Amino acid sequence: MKIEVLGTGCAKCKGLEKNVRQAVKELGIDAEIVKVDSIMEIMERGVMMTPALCIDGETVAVGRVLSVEEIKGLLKG
Amino acid sequence: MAESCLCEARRAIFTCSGGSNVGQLANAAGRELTAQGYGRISCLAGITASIRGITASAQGADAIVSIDGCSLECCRKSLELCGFQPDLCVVITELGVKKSPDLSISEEELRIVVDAIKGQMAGI
Repeated sequence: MKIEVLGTGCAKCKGLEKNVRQAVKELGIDAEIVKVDSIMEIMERGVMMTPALCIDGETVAVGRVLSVEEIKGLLKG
Repeated sequence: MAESCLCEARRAIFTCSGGSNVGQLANAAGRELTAQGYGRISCLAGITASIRGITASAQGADAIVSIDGCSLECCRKSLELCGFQPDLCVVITELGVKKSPDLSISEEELRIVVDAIKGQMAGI
């Protein structure tokens, strides 16, 4: 599983990345976590607000710092 | 905050950008409102094409603003057809600008339209 956190590096983006790492840790799953901080790459995906979360290439949330529980719910599918 | 951060753009602005002076005014107003920090202009075509990043961005917005040039309201209707209910709908001809096939716009018209929309945005 590939998880991408889209954001240029502000506090909200860092908060989402932190929660993603915590969710992955709590679930004990094998996942690659990638931080995408290029504004050009973010917009290339059509994302108009940050932070955003992509799971296996699909944008699943935009503009919110999801909680650890919310992320766990998305990861469990 | 990082440079070019998009996290403060809480209003998603969509414009008709149609083939008339008021359609072009709608787009120019969306750009100007974005530049002034009143939201972030987004892509109506991306909504109708179901581009996931763009639809997810609209879903994540605190408010959706639809700016149409004329009473045909193609922007609002497109958003609604795709399941998005705008929180604010603006029709530029209702602000006193007459529709014409001339695509040129004036700075004065743009100022009037942007000021009017900013006033209406205060309620959302």
